Amino acid sequence: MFLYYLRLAVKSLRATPGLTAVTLLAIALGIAVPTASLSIRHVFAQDPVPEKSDRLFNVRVESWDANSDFFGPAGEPPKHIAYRDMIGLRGMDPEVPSTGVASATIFAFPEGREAQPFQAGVRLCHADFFSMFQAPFAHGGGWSRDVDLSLEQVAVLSYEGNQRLFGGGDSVGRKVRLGEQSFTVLGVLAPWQPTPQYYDIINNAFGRPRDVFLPFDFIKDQALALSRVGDNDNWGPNVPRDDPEVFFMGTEMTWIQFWVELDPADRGQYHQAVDRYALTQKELGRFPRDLNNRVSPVMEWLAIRQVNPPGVDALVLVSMLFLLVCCLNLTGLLLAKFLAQSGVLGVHRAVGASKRSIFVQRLVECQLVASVGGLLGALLAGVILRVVDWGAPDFIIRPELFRLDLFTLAMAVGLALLAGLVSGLYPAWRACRIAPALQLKLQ
Amino acid sequence: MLEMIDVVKTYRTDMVQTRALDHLSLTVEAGEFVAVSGPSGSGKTTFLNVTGLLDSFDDGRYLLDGHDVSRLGDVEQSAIRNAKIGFVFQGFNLIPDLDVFDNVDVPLRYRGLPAKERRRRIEKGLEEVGLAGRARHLPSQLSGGQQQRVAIARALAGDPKLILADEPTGNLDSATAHEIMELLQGVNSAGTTILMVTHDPGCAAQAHRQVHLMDGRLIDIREESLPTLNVTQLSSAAAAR
Repeated sequence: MFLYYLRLAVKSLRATPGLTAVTLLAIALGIAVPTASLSIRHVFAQDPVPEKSDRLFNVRVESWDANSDFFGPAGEPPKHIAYRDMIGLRGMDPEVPSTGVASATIFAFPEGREAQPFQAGVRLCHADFFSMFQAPFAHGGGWSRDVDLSLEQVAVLSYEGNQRLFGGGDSVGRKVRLGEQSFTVLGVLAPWQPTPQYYDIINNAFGRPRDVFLPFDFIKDQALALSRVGDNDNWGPNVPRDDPEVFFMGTEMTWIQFWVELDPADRGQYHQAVDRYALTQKELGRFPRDLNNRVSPVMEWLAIRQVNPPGVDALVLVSMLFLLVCCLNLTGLLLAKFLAQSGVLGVHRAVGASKRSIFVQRLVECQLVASVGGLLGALLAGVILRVVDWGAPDFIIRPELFRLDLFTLAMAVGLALLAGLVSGLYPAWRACRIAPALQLKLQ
Repeated sequence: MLEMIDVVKTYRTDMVQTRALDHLSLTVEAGEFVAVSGPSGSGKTTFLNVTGLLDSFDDGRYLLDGHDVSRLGDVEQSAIRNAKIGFVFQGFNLIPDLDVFDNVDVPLRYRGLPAKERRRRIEKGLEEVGLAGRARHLPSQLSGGQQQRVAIARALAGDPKLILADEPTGNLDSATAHEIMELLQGVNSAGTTILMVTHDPGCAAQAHRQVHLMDGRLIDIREESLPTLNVTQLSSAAAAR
């Protein structure tokens, strides 16, 4: 009977094209706004690495001065750690996969005479970065842990960096000139843009991927002269920068996001180890504040950093209220239509349709109009997302971040079916409750 | 075919109470053609609605085809309407969005018959009422007489035991009304019981029996002889059903 009801619904909708158009418009508008806002929220709030987000931990230590306030959420330690703390944490026993994450820039020189040098984005990280964050290699692979110390001049290119430098393809073994030095390409990543870019949530949560990945300690290479970019905080005394080793091992400047990979069951044990490290630093006269270290899994870290801003949730709430208003309008339209058709319903009742049949019939019609309206709403949501995408600054939000995708489409249809059900229940109930004798008089 | 015993139906509003059927008792035998007449407000339509299980009643008993249908639920009543009763209305009551074929198809859909059987019955029904060539016409493309024929085809498609006709010729000119009456008599002669509400004495006279209603009460029952009608083609077609 479902197909028959569907056929009746199509005929009923075609019989009243004006009312159908208004109804579709009401649903489309009602669906488009919350779909767009939910889609935006999805981008901000989704788990970027669901298969291992409980195994990757951001580590922070309370290294801030006792007498000055830290500019961050109350009760939280600094969002970064200092270079020397990264070295200290990486040296803890037992050793676990770990990486520092920071950003820099440098002029890169593409191959070919016509190509212009450009300022390339550099991701500074350790060897474990690629396996920890599941970076997909199209060609080659990452460097070994030895290279983290030996600073062999090797690099990994992102998909985008490889496009800019070599026009794509397998560039493994080729040389790339960065500043005045030449690096050998060890690997090229396939397109990879976790959303959000959780390993660098502070400086590049939704931006373009960096072009080149270099072993972290190249930051200390004066000849290479990387320009460090990104947020940093410092409370300590000025340390001379003439000798990078002295500077980085002496400064209290925090600028590195530090990650480890652990079995979730080992989190507490690792946290204790971090606390022990902090106590050793206290003995050295550092870390004047009480112990307040953090070992935060991915989603907890994203929540602390409010990657999904509270404003987005408010937007979702307002858009849901808008949908509710549209549903109320829809209820009114459907009620008017069904009551106007009560004569036809009377005929159905007279020839054998039960109240339940009429109720289901009307709901099918509601769901049909809701589904079509939902698809229109999804298209409209796609337009809204394009406008948002177009309006967002490229250096914060990478192009195509907000777009009509399967998630958006499924959400639009799901919301539409829910709206159709909610809006249609009362009109359908009223339609089936009218006495058939009265309905026939109205025919 | 049907037996009503002391049936009472009262319409109530906050201010007024109107007794539409007042201890009405009536027996209609299978195969009878009964005309129900009476002035406006006498309870004819209420009587027909109660008979067709389109309306409830307050007191009394109602036996249809040997079964007490006085206090059945909606699903059972709907199933009985679908299986045993066919309706023909003054205003034809065709569904305007559906073509002739689909209008006749409606009761068969609720019966749950397979597509092949439905098609057979629809084509046969339309042939019987002389509208086989109009299956894909919309009701608005048909004359009043043709629309009423479609309504009769729809009523007959489910092979009912009882046809309830509410002023079936009320919206038709006299020639067309005559055709419709011939059609109904053909149906009746094939064995289907017909209960017809009418204002028209001419139509009423063509029934086996006339029932007169006044203020919800049965005040007169007259047996009539069935006039000779030109129903040969229709009755043979109906008999073939």
